[in-house]
Amino acid sequence: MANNIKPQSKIKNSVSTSAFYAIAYIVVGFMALICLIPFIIVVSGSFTSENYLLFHGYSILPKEFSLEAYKILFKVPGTIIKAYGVSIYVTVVGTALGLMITTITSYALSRRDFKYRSKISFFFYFTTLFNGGMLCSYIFITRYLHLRDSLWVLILPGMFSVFHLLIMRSFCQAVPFEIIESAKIDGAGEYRIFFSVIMPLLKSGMATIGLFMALGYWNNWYQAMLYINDQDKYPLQYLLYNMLQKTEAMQRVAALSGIVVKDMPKNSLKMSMAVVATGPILLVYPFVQRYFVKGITIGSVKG
Amino acid sequence: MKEFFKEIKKNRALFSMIVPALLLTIIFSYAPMAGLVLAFKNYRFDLGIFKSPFNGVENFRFLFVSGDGWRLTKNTILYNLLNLVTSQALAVVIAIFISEIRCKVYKKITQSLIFLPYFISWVLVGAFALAIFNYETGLMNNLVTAAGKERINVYAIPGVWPWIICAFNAWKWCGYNSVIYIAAITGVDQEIYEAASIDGANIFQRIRLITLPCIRPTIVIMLLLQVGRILRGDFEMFYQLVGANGQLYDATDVIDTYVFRALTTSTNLGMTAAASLYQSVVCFVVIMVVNGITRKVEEDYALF
Amino acid sequence: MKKLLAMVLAITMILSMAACGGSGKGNKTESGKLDTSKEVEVVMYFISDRPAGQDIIDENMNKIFKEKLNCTLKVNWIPWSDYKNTYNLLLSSGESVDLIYCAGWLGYSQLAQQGAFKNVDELWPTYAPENYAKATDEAKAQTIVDGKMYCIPTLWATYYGQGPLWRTDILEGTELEGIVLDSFENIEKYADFCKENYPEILPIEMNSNGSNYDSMWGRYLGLREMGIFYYDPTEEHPTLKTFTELDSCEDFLNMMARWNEKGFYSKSCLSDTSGDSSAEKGTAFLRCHNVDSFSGYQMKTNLGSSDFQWQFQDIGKYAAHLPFTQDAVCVPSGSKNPERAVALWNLITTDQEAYDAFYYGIEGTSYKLNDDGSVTMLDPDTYSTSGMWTVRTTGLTRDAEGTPAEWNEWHETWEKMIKENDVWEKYSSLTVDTAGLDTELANINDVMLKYWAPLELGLNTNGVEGGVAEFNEKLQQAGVEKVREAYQKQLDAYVEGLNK
Repeated sequence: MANNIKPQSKIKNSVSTSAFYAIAYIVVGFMALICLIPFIIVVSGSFTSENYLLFHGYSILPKEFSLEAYKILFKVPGTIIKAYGVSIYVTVVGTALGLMITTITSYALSRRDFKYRSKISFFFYFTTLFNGGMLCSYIFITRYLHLRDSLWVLILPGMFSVFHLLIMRSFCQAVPFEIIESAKIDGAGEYRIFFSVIMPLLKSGMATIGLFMALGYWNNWYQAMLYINDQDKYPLQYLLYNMLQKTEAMQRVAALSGIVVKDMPKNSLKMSMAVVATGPILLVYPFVQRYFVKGITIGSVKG
Repeated sequence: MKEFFKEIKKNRALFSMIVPALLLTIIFSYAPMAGLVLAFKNYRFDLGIFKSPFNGVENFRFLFVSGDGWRLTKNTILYNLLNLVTSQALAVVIAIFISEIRCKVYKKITQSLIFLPYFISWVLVGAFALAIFNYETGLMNNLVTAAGKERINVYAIPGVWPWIICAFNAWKWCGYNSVIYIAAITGVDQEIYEAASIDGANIFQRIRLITLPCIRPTIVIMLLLQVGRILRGDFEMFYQLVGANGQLYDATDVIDTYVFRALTTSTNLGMTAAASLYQSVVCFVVIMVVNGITRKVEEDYALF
Repeated sequence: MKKLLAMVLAITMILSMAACGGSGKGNKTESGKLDTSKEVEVVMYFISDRPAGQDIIDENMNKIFKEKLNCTLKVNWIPWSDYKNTYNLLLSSGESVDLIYCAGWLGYSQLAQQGAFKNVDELWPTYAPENYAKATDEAKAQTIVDGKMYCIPTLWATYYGQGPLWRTDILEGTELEGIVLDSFENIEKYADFCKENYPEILPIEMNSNGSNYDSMWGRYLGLREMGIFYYDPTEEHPTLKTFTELDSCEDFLNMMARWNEKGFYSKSCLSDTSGDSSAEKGTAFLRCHNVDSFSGYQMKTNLGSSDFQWQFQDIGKYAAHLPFTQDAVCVPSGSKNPERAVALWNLITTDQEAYDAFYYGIEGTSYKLNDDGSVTMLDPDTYSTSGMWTVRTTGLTRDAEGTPAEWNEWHETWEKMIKENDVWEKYSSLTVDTAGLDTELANINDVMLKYWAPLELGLNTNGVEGGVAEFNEKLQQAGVEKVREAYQKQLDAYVEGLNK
């Protein structure tokens, strides 16, 4: 009896397995498509003449090709290159330091033998619930820490996020406690255990959090708006944000100030800004992706 | 207290690991918390935060005086629950599918593409939404009229907006959230999968018995983190999609959009602080309850 | 957990006290003669973006200031992108700022009430006597908040003047050529014409910024506004009415509903957050705005960068000056050199050389003077006129090249209208005191955007009558009567003052 059922269910299995794969490929492909199309429209829009966009709307391929928007963005190439530099510096330094701090903290908080772990987690978590608003931070950072116009003001406040900490902690919790115990028995110190045993197991988690941190730093213009006056220290996103607002404001006040402002191609400008800001970080993505493709074998580390 | 110091001594190394994070939190999060007191004050620029006079709960009145406070609270919570379920469910499904896909090129490319919406700002998303739903020239109405039907004025039908907003939200965050789950699945010990396939487990059993249990802690954490923001709304998203369209507010208003609207012409810092404090307190109560329940069920999964 | 909470609270308290204590302290100013023996640096903030070539302009003007007042001016620019967030922060942070741009739309009277600025009752006449002498009594009255003056208003007269701004090039050779849109019937006629001949284009510009048609209607009828209320200044004892209480409210709403029905503007307009001026771009033909926008659009055409021809008509029954506090300069309470700052302001607004150096820059480099007395800005990518608009002064400010003749004509017309009939103008010094009404005003603001905006555009789904009933009910809930009562009292007191 039993022998008879097995092959049958295997066939059934393979049919439903193929069905599963078919669905998986289709669903993922469809999702990828609806994510890709708007992005293509953005890219194409950035190369389309403003007039065409105004009268005919968006399209997948640029109908009236124009580089006007990019010409405006790169009119003074020096500023935008400087801004790239600032952004890259802030992102790299911030992510490296922040990733280290987040990982090691979340590891400590994931340890079952760490008695105050839940209370300390609460101490961290509390700050996501309550915040004192901008005014106090502003006074504190400018008058007491004297961080105005320092690149550290772009790096430090974003270096540690409770969201990242807790996600990372859940990755740490997935590591079997026995590994730590056996390492302890082998006589390894806490730091050694962390760096040579645990960290290699957290690669995918670190890649995730690192990616999020980098994106966070890369996209953050708010901090710069509050604390950076020196135009040489504008990060890219703030520079772009500033440019867009400026063109709007300039048109508003053109009549008052008695200067004639050329019509800004606002719509295509918005899109070219998205392209210029997204480009470099997209290049990082495949690099991070390496860590997601292949799974980890804990056994090999244990041995 | 004594016990606490003894513990520090015993676990010196572990404690030292959290010191940098503690310092950053204290400096950048706890130190400015005095701002909370603004919610109860009639702020004066020349007196500063501490010397400004108290005015009781006056600053909170604007939220509740016209009876809108409860509607807003309810709306905000429902939106967050809807967004939470849809966006996380979509992310989990996509993550499982992607990690099961064998063709490496397909896997890599689709995974990258799904991340793209994250980079499209809400300003542009709002412009696209208008290009789709616009009554006169929108893509949707062009299709509808081409099919010989009556135009639909989507911007006058409040009922559909929770779904539209939720769809855009899930679409925008799908890539971002699924990365977390993909990473969690990647972190599962490959030996378990190998052992399972030797035992003849089919793909459904593998997902149900190995993948899902392994990423459960991550799912729970993500849900808890979202629940902790149950009364906060993504202002940009609502504003760019809905604009100043009063007809839709009954269905789309959340606390953040209301506060923005009510205080556009005001310089009252106290009222802004009051709204934020109200959100904080409700979030605090909700997360304490939910976290308490989680702790009872499975201690390791709790936030704290 | 309780213990931990207590600890958290304690730490927070201690740290916060240290972190955020102490803000700007108001130091007393003593009246007397200006002492210029010590060189000082005056710090000024205003909202604008710093032009690329500003360095040499700063250097040039500081030479003049140094010579005349032994001081230098440090200008800090708050970019347009940031002012909503940083303006109030700057005032609260206690940084030393001597002069700052302020305006009604930035919440001047509220800020003054909250102690953001120094009282200039003595500073202004003492250290800026020429400027003080030039300011009209009306302007001075407008600066008063709780019995004291807190700002120095602009010396540049601007006018209530709002109305349609429409393209005339499309009318050439048609029966509508030369039509003047001085009534709502004519606006409708114009829009009908556009709709018929250019069915692809929605004739009237409308987006999420809302319309101004309600207040235009009020002006058309000769009513003045106070907050959300309207009153008839020709009455002996004017009473405040909401828009829906006006006799003609229904006519207006029916008209707008008809316009919406005819498709004069998009049914989705309130969700359009792009902020574009579609009329300027050519995707609409008519916009309701002011003479400055008209001047800007037409100037572009006059200088050859656009083909559109424009016309403007003020739709109001009477004329009046806009409040002079519409552009103003304040001395923040944290200022260290208020006397010199005010004296410097006096210099810039009364001395043509100082004015030119501050506002236009360097002749031959950033601007050139034309034979007709107008000014042309050279290289607008590098230089710009100053973003500190308050400084504009009748007599010192020059016409920009390409300014349409109608712009000056309108100003003359309005000035004449005011002289002939001061029915509006006599209410110009009435300022609104909103103290104690924050809650109600916030709620009313919300009701206006939520219920009035769609109703006004004929977009609400339950018809004019149902919409009005709903709007009125919500307005009552929001506390409109309390506001009305407070405002009516202020209005009555003002009327009493007029009759004295």
